[in-house]
Amino acid sequence: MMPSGNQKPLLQVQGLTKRFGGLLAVSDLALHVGHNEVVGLIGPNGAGKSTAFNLINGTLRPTAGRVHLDDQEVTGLRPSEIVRRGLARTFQSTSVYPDATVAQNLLRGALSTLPGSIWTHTITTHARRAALRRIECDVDEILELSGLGPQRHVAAGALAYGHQKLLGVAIGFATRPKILLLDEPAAGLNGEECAELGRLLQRLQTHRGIAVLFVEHHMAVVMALCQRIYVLVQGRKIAEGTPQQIQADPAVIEAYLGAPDYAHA
Amino acid sequence: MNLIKTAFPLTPEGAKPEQIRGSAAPKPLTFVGAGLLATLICLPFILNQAFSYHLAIFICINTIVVVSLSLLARAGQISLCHGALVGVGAYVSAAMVKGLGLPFLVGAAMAMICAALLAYLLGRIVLRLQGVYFVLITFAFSELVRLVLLEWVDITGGANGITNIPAISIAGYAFKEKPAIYAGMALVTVAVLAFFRHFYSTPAGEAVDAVGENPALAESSGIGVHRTQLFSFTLASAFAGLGGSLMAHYLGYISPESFNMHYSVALIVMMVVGGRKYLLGGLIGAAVMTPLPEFFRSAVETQDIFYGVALILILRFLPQGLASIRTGRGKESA
Repeated sequence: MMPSGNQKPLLQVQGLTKRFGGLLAVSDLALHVGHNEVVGLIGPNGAGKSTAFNLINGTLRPTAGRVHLDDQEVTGLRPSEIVRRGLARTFQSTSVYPDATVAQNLLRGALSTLPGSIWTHTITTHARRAALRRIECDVDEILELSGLGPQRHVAAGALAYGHQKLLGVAIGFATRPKILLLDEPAAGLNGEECAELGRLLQRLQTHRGIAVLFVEHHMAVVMALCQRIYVLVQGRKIAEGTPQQIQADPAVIEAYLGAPDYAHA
Repeated sequence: MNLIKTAFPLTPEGAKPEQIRGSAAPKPLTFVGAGLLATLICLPFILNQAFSYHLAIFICINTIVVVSLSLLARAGQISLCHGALVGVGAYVSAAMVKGLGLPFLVGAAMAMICAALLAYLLGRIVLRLQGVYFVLITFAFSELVRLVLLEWVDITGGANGITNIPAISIAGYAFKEKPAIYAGMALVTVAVLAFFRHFYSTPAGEAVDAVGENPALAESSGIGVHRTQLFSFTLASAFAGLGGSLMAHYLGYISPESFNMHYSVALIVMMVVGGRKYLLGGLIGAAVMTPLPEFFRSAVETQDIFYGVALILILRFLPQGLASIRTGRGKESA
């Protein structure tokens, strides 16, 4: 299924394979995400979803396969270089700078949008001051969008679990990505927090129009947010399609949705 | 609160007084902070003894070196070759000024450049390693530097070292009297602290802290861990070179044994005792640990024991160092 129109997909993954010794964690994975599209990646535990994320964002080097971002090959680049090209990711567990305030966390996320390198960042110039002011405005905007505004001066380590996860997403968002990879953003959140996260993603989408690829076990969130879904089982893609198609796919039902542990997934 | 922060509020002009860069945001000057610092600086003048000047000068040099070491520590790496890089600076400066007859300022600048360049080249290769592996490699490098200084007799004088290094002299004025040397050193130390105070409030300083606090998150939000640590290692080594240059011209004599592993370890102990995450940790650590062995002069061989004991006590009771006594808990709930 190609994205609509003649526009090339934003993220294109072909033949992505990762082998850990004898274990084939991800095998010949192909997927694409269009501009402004929300795509889900689901599958039972150990299906290779997080590995796929690590391969796409450069944390791991693939055994084979290619990753293209906006028509540029990014396979084998460091994560920080890929971020600067417009692809950011968040982590499954909470990942914040615990000693820094919420606003400072977001500022650090936005540092990658500052022109120049660390070698020149020590020097304060007029242009840099202007860029920093722009970043500070950006931080204010994200604080408001994410609803973390009241906590802006709180140390991130002192936030409640749900807020830390939210902050993790907001940090990823502060890098001004074209596409954001979210690794189980709803894991460990209660119903209300899940709904809040869903609303946040929708707000971010409408405000900035970024694409999202996310791994999630929480089916209600996946079915509500995603336009398309890929299903991964034991490192292989077994299905792709709209939420309705996925829910009706016999292979998916057998391998995943019908699994006995579905009830508490 | 941090004395330097309070005593030297460096507000970049034009910047609105926002609170985003929370801990880095300049605090207003307090009389207590400024008074304490001024008293500390003036103490040797009040005591007015050759030995207290000598100690104070060494505290200044160690402060510069330890503050630079903690830059690398804040970026998440511990180096066992910082003492060796101080040595590189000392030898380069001595060779420039005594050997080639260049002015002191050129010698000091070359010491900074050479130490930084060496660290940059080393860092490019070995900063792929993290944690204990980096520590081991820097240990090996430290030994390598010591052996080069020992064996390259033509330039370094081998085990005899270099003697009769000219005193610090700027624009025709030679710093020969201890009070004058100390005044100069104190000025340089305050300048270095002010530089780092400013540095930690720039985006580069923010990146260093980000990498130190959560390297995985930093890397995946666009702050390159390798690049940031390489930068920190290079900048830290430049100041190690400066410390070495000051030491060489103050003492007038250097030998390879002054810059061996023991010195590197002592620097780490000073950093940890003072507080590795605080700008003033370097000053506090150097001020506490530099005079410590002098109280046990009668038993020279036991001096290392006191360093060890101090380190163990600090790690057990004040893991964030002495500088955290007043700021540590307050910061958590800030």
